[in-house]
Amino acid sequence: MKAESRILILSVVLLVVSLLLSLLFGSVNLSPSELLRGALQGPKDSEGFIFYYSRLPRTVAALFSGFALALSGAILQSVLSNSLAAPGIIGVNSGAGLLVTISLVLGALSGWTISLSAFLGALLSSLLILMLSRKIRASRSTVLLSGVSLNYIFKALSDILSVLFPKEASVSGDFKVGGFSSLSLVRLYPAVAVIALAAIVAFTLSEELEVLSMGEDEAKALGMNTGLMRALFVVLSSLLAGAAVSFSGLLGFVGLLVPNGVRRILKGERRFYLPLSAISGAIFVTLADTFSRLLFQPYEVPVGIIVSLIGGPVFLYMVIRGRK
Amino acid sequence: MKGKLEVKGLSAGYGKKRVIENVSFEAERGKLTVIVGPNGSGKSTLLKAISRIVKPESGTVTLDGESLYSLSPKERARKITYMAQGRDVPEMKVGALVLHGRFPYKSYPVHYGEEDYRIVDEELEKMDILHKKDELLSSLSGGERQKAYLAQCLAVGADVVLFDEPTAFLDISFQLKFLSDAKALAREGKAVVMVLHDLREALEVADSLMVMKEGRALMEDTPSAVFESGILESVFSVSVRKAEDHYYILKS
Repeated sequence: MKAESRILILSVVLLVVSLLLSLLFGSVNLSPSELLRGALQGPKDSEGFIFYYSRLPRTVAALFSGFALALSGAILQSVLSNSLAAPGIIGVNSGAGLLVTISLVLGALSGWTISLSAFLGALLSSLLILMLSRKIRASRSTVLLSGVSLNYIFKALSDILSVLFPKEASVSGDFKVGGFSSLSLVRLYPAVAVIALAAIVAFTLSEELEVLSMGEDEAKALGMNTGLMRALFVVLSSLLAGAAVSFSGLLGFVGLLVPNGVRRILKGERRFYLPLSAISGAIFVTLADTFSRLLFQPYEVPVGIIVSLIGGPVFLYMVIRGRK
Repeated sequence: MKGKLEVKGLSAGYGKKRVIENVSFEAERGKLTVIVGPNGSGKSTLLKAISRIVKPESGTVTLDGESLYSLSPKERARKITYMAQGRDVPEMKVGALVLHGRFPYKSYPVHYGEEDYRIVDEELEKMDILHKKDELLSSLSGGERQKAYLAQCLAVGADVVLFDEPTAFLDISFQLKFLSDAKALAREGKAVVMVLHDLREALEVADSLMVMKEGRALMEDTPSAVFESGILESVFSVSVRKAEDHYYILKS
């Protein structure tokens, strides 16, 4: 068996382990038998309640947000040929944040409205980046830099609204840095469906992504409609990021860190780059969320803080090792 | 040998800026056609317009009488292949790069089969870099990397091959090897068109030489006819001498 196939299998095993850990541990730890009983009996006793109303939604949320954000980053980094491209950096996440703040100012209260506006915000900001880059016939680095500028503009607009409407525009800490407390399974379904569909399409287009990463002229010479393909990939990555942000909040860093780490592990072997990035993102966020529940008990920190706390030094280490 | 690539009245540019104007020339199968001209004369744009990487404003391109512009992008890519000038090196293994040469033959969802992998190995073998198949492109020397790109062009199997300054960053021994490989490709019956920066190299290697200036094609003929016309002196502002089948470029 080839090395990369072994890595893929290992990552699936690690994912299962991290999902189990996430289901077992929290403010109340469950034993494996309690977990099984709770899962089989339904929400009838305390184990069932914990399983169905707390652990399962959280674990599903962590799994899919990590999966989607890392996949979104992996696609963007290939399409823009830049390892700094990620939804949190080119304004996709902050666009989602802005639309959430606007909908709060306008009086939205339900979780559904907030999810929908986050999703639309991510999509609109991606389309704006795409339109801008088409209008000015931008190079790939220009697309990245316009995204960075939009990121600052969206953040500033959100901050202005928070100052002008302090009561209405106060989003929860969980949304600002990313977190999964107070989620229900029902609220996750639409986003999970979008993530699953976008991921299937992205996985079947991985050869096209590879050819595109060779360069614009090279891809065109091989018969690719590069404009259409690039637009499709940007839309796919924003669907993924938007769906994730809609329930996880502005969880940054995953889309930047995970694909960079995966590329280092694969060493130029690109066949499993997309699936391995997605699975690794899911492992990373699921483990980070489990830690966020356990580290400062009885307090719980939003997962975004743990992601940055672990991800920061890891990324720094990769940068320093890369230079050596 | 019969058949040729025929370019007629080709004009193209970027945005409102027109770079090549009404260019016509022919590249016969079995021959190496070399394009020369000062910097900014539109040589690269001409190659990109022929392969429709840059969309031409007007003009036609035919191969053996069949219009290449009426084909779908993938059909066209199977007939005409283009190797770009010095480029960013993608984070990719040599084998994967060459395998992408089979991309024009695939439709969604792309799946490469045994025949594709066999072709990749054959072309790498021809270029003497089969042992580098699992290495990163970035770890190769300039000459080896150029061989990998050439292997990709061969894997496409197109009848027209366009090279944009392929020897620009190569050591002299790799330059000579590349030029002889390109010539061998032409002898197999392909129409090979190459932009070269080095005038002396162009005069010595070309079967047919085309001279460009300010976006226009000035002359196309055998190297000795082009030399004797004196056009090179006026276009490049140099003095060109010939002695015993070798050309020398001197300051004018």
